[in-house]
Amino acid sequence: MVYRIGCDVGGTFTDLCLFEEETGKTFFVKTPTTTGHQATAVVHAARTALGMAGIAADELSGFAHGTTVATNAILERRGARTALLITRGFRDVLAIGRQTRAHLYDQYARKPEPLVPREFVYEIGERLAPDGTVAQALDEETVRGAISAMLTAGIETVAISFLHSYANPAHEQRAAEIVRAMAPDLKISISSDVLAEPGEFERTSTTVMNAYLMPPLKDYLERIANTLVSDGVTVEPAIMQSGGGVMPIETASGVKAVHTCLSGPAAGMIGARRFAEAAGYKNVVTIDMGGTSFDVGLIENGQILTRYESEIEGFPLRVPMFDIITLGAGGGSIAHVDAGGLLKVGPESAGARPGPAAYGKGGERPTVTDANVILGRLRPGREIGGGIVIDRQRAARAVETHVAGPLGISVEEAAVGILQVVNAAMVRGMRRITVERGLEPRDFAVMAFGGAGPLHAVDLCAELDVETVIVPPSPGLLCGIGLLLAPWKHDETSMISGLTDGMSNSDIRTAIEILVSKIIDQANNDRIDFKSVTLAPVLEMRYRGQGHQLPIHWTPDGLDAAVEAFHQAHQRSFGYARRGESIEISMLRLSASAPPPSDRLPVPTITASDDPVIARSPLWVEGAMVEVPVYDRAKLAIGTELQGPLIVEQHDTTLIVSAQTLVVDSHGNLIIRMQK
Amino acid sequence: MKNDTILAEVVRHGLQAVAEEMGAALIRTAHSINIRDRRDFSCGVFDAKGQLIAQAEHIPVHLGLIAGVVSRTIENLGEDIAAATMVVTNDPWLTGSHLPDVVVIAPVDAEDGRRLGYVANMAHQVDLGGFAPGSLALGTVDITQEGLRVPPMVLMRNGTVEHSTLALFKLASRTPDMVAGDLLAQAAANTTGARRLAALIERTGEERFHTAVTTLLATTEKRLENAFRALEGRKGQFSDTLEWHEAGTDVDLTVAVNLTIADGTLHADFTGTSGQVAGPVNAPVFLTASCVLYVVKAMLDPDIPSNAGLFRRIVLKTPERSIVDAAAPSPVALCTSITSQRITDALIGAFNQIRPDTPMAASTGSMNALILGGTDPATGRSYSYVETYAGGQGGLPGKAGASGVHCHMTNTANSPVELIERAYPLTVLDYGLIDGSGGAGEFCGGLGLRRTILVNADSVLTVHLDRTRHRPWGVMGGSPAAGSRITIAAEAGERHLPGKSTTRIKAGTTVKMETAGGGGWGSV
Repeated sequence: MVYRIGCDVGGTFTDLCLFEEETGKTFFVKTPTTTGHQATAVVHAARTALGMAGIAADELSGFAHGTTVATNAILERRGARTALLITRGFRDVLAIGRQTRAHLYDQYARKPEPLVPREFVYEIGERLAPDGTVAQALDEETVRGAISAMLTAGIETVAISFLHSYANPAHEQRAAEIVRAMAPDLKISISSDVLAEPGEFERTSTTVMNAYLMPPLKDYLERIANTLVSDGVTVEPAIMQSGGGVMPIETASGVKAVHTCLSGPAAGMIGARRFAEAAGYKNVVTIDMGGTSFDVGLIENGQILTRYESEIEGFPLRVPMFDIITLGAGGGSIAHVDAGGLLKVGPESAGARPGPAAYGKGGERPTVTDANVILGRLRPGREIGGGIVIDRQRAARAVETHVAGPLGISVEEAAVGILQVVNAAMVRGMRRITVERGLEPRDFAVMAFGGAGPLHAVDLCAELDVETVIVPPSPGLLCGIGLLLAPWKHDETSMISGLTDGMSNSDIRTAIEILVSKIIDQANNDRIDFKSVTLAPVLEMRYRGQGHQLPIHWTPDGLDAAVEAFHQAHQRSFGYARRGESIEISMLRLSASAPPPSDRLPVPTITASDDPVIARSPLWVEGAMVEVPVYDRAKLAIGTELQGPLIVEQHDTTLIVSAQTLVVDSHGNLIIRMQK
Repeated sequence: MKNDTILAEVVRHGLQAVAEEMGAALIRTAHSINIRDRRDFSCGVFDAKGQLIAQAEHIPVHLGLIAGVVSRTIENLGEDIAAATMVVTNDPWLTGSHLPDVVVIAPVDAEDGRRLGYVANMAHQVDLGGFAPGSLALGTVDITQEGLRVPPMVLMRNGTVEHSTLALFKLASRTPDMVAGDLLAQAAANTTGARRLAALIERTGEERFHTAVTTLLATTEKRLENAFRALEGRKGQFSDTLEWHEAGTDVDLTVAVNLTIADGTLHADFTGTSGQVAGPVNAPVFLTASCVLYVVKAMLDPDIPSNAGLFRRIVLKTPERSIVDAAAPSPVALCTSITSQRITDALIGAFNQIRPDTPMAASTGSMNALILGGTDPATGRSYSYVETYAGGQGGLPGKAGASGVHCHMTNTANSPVELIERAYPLTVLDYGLIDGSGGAGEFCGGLGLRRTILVNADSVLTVHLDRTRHRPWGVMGGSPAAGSRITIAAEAGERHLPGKSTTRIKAGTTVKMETAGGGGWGSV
């Protein structure tokens, strides 16, 4: 028997899924995240699951892990004491950033303070030209001087970022050598390793963040690994990256530490992609709505949309990550009437404390959850864990006081209004992720998860003319399974830039060969058999002088085919192609991946019952309260077909269906067909 | 009526999405760094009466300019814009800005031909001719010297480009391909916006849409009125100095403003401001209105929606033929980069008296523009580098000013050093904050910036600096900041250039820009 574990640490819960591969049987453990010492909950959950399955630790043949240690280190500024070596004349590159202010009108808004204070930025004599030729040799004395100063200052980790190092890493590498020789305990991150692309601020910021995260990640991951080993686990944990691949501990606490800091939603997206595929959908908008935020992702032709530019806490970050739009709209978003009389929802949130008024934990202000309670979408009297029982009266009082009263409307009208407004904000996010890429939302199915996603999904899809809503099995399972389905991934880039007219197929093939050798090195480091690796070379192309590039797959057909593919892609995305115009290649990216050990989905855990209806409850439908059946999802047999209006409850989310039909598919997905 | 406020907020999200999609389309299709990376543009959505109902804001100075541009253009045409026709103009007395800010407007019609609304965007084009590369020359006395000035002309008809119009822009420009590319990107953004607005109106229903928009503007007005009523009867008066140079001598121009809040309305009277001059620091009155809106938002309500409702509680009075209400054909190239910042400082000074307990110190006070152009010896093609430099923010009650950030009327991103060196015959020798350049105070002013560039081609240099003699002021006993300056060094030695000047320089010259910090808050 082959057993694997996927363990995802979220802000509130740690979800762990033990999967028996041949039978598809799962053992699922959900336990509160132990903030500040995540390893405790992870190890506890692993031991619990092994006990449930009745197997020994050494029977495990896989352990995939998603952690928020890096994210938390940034949010709480608890990374290592970091220094920066930079080309002379540019010590303020982090402080200036792109010279923009944080808010157009709010004079008090500020960019975050750099992770390296100015006193720990050391200027190094050296200079490269944009093509990588040496304009001024590396002044090694300035490196040695900086090292002495760093040692005195108690620096733990150093980032090295020199101008134009993407074109020639020699100076950075030599400086790193000197550091290693003089200060062997210092951890080092060099920008040409972390991100070999032009744009000194973003490259330096990403490299500094990598250096900043290396020590805390190493501590954490070693602690996990050591505990697992002493428990008898013999496999090495694989760590989730924000781009949806896994990597070994050594890589995750070294050159790719920064790749873990936006990995939170990645596992869920991989799980979502696989469940959607099983249901027969390759084009999907995913929506994940929780207590404080609404995340929108996109799967196009079975591929999860990836981007290479993002930010965390106001710091730019250039690593591959799933392209997810996050809005401050969640169940806890607070509704209020502004000074002009307009109904606003968010961005302020009641969060977990005090939480929505209906939770009775001290919240007095009306939230989106309270609106859902008033309209019967969250059943009054229902226990939702943590000793919380839904209290409609408290919800109604809050909405009456802060919205219905001031607007002179009924509590139900106000609740409908709150949902309409928050839905409008979320529709805007779903529209953005599709139409900004020249895609039509109505051509996509929507997969809804998170505690509040299925509550709102049907209404959102009606606004967007979407035909199908998919509600996968529980969100926790989605993440756990997602980790087990994650491939090994590694990207390398090359700055071959210039007009296609001046380039030959062999230029590009040579550049690809160089990147392939780098990928072979990384695969060897990560103990991946290169024979299993799939390579996808992509050219970033644009019309000469244009700002945005489009990624075009390089095929054996060569440049002419790539140029034609670019014209077509431009036509598709922007509505026009300029066939007479010169085309520039700005970068070559080689994405490598090795398949996950398994592609199998778990069998649904259903105890089908003749009477899956657990209650009848009033639900606001088309302007009036109507008695509707409430189903327990765990009791819905595969193949069940239901006609709304109805409510489906499960322990961690609730689905509202009004005039639609619902089917349970063979993987446990709920498929809702919207009326046209 | 009360229920309309819910619908209005729902529709506001839809409208904002339209404006955002226009912005995204423009960024993705534009050719120039100026638009795609520095985001020197704004997009607006309008109702059938030409009233601004939503805006995607990147540049505060555009706020009040975009707002009235549709109605002014229609008035200028003498008739409404024909169906399926996009109109382009850069006339400062329509756009409110300088010549490089080009506006493209598209009508949005129902299938039966009824007018539903308009979309428009304003974007800064790299070069439209004139004395110097960048079309922001000094030494002009008349707008005809500044470059191409285009009245409302047809750019697109039934989805097809009007080639004569495009050719006009190309002929006038030193960077014809760039201008054509950006102009078509502006049109593409409008195509996107028009489609989205029509779909939004159809989804909402025309009548409900109309109700929602009416409510949206009314609630914005109400929100502003309430903010003013809390300050009812207060007055403030302030004047600040704009540096000018005439017939070989330094001249100080005055921007004076009297603010009065009466009956929930702000009255801004610029009587006492200097008359227009024979040089490009004059501003069309719409720009002055834009500054008033900015200061109101910044001082009172940063998150209030930007729409026509804002204008209903503001009464503006400006002396004719003054630097805050210039008449054609006076040159206006520096109105956005310099004059707008001085108008803003004067307004903030006056607002400080309206709210004497929470004053703000003056910020860097200029957009600190540097424009270099010539022929790149490596490619043989002409190049045009335009960039505005940040400075220090003034100290605030309880908070030091930020260092090295764009303040007030602009917020464009810088060009990365590595991209500058890849794109232009320029080498950046250093780029950093200037220690000690912020005004001292309990909450000190932010620091200004220094950037030194080695210019590797014979070039024409234009600079727009202010606050070289009159430094950004402090408040509550805080000190003024260090001023700005530009220095060039070549074989012949080193010299400071006048803050507003155009100069020919030889390959091998280094240019050092130093921007002013922010004034300090409170005595130390």
